[in-house]
Amino acid sequence: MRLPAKLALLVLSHLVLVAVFADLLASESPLLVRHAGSWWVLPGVTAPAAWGEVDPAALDSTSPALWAPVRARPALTSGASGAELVSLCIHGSRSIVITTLGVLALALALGVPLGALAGRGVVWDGLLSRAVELTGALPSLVVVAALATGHAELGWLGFVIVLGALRGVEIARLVRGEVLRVSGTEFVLAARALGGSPLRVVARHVLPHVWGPVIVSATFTAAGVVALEAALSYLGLGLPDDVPSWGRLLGHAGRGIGVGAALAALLAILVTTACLYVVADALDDHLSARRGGASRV
Amino acid sequence: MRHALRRILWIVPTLFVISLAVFWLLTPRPTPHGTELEADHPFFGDHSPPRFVNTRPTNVRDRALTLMQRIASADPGEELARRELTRLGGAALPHVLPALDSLDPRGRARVALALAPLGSRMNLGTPEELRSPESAVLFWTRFWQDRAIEFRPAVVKRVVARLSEKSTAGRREDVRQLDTYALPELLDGMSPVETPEDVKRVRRLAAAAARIVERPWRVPKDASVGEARGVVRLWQAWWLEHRSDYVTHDGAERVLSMVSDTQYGRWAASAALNRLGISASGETVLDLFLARAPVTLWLLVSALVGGWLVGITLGLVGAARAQRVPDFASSAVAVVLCALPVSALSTAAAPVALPGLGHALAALVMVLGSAGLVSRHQRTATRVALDQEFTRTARAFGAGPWRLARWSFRASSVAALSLLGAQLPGLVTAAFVVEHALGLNGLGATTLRAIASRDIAWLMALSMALGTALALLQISSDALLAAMDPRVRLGLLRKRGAAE
Repeated sequence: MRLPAKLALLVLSHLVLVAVFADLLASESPLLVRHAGSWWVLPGVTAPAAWGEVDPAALDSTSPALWAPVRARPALTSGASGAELVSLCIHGSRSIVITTLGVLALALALGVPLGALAGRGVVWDGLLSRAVELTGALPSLVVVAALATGHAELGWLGFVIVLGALRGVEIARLVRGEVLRVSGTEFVLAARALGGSPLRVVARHVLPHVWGPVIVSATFTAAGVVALEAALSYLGLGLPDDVPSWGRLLGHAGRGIGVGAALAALLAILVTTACLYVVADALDDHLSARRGGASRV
Repeated sequence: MRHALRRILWIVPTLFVISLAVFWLLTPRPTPHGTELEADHPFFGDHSPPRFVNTRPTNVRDRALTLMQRIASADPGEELARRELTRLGGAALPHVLPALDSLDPRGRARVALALAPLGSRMNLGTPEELRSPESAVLFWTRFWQDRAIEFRPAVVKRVVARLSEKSTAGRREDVRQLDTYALPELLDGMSPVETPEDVKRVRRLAAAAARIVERPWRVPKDASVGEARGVVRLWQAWWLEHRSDYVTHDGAERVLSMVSDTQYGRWAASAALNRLGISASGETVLDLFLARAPVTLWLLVSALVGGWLVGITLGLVGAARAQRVPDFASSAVAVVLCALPVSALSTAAAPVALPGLGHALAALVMVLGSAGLVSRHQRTATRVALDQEFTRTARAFGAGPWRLARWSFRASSVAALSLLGAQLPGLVTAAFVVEHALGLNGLGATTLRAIASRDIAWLMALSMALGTALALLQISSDALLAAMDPRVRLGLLRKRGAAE
């Protein structure tokens, strides 16, 4: 793998770390503090009971402490300070990581079995192509808008389900094509000749060859989800209001609130999506070179 | 060609499924609203019917008889039942009055008293007659003996036809005494509205209907054809909603009403009747759509055309100078363009947008938004084409990289073409974002308003329109692909041969 891809992977893993530790990075307790003669690391997490009795105000002047730049997840209001907005950005990374992973998990869970079955002719093939046409003709925007109109209470979960289902159909189409391609090869014939059941042949011999393109496509899908979430939350159709989101931060910048935070959100979206693209390209190159196909470079 | 035609035909069922799916998403499970009592009984109040299949379509006979039983048995919900019976009005009489005899005397008296408000609306009897239990029973029994013959479709037809010809006090009175029983004919007589004569007719009929169901929709004295048509549209929308309260369904119509007397059925009927339905702002959806579509269309077209020009140029530069500075630069630009959220671009552009420049600026943003993807595809496709024997031969004979890129263009542009259909859904989203950011009044702005006001008619129309557009574009891009690339054409032929 080339350097840019390695860098991009590094950035993405940091993003996930930020998302996992968002509560620590944007919390009211310090990251590191010297108090009562000993060093406390992340006291809000490691010793919440003891920390609860300490008055942070008294601490500041007497002992060295490393504070997180911002407070716990605040609400996005017009009077929000810069620190609060940065904290929203940090928590936004958690929403985007959960959303993306959720969509990917659902899409793969739906798409791979469906595509494999369609490719082997178990599920009526026409059904899949109709479903593909259906989702192709229905922009995610419209589905999400319809959902927001009819089922406001579904919120985040509904958003993930809709995107997951729509992307799942695309993954299914891809898997179907790959399964058809692999099914023609000699080793699949051999496996069938040796008496492997269709299910076993698909699971043991066909699917391992399908994973490569699916992973590449999933990475592109992740980039698409990040962009779509940004666009939809910007329009106020994406994640519900109480979930911090980069897209909404951008949207508020349009009304003159928190331009700095919006820049941070923009940077976050830009870097995340670009890194996903770079990683996907590298994966694609790597896998197609291994398959002996034409390389992108 | 045959292939394309078959796919165009497939659009119709696809659209139908889309409409079902979107409608399912749009409408929450019908929740009966109002008091608790209304909630547990489907015959009361403004109950919204099921979404797709109504296993128990209601009609006036069932409603009237249930209400009668409730009133007769002095049920706790009696007060409500009285009001409801008054609302059903004359249409309920042919079912209630013959059944009076089957009640015990006390119940009979209660029902007869409950009919008093209806009697005064129909201008029958004297208040004293209607208000005392004994005389009320006697009055309604006698009324039915005398007048049963008038509550027949043929009679109603004649009475309404006479009113629509000329409005005299006697004719108005005839219709008034039929009450809601005359509604189907009144509504039927309202269309068409084309000449000034029609306006006069509609004016008489609307006045009669307005008196019966107490709605304000009358045609003013010197109304134009357009105004009259607007009033008729209101009446028809109302009738669609309430028809099942006033008519009986028999035989086949009863089966049909299992489908038509649903939320979806009502939407479909309203869409067919009123140019895709009436949006929340009162205009018909089609008019609104045609007024707003040009802005969005301009954005989409400029994104496609401009995006292709910029994207293909970038891609060609990258491919021709592969693994050198121009390639890295163009690849980096493409990735950044892909990753850059349109919302940020257009937000940044918003302060610069001078009045009049908004459209141009929006188009520019759209071009930038779509160029990245095209450029990436173009670069890959050109690289693949440059790898093939014919280009290698040309290179061996000394052709430069630019010439090679140009020669391979036909082979590589196929890739960008296949992108066309896949790209559009994203562009539609981008167009909505750009409209929102730059304050353009296109489909996006209207859609956002429709979501806020739960305007189902608009959202349905939008999804159907986008569905059609995307499907057509997909088909035409496939057809273009087949025209440009003989291999695709052969593939299609082979597939069809295998299927036959």
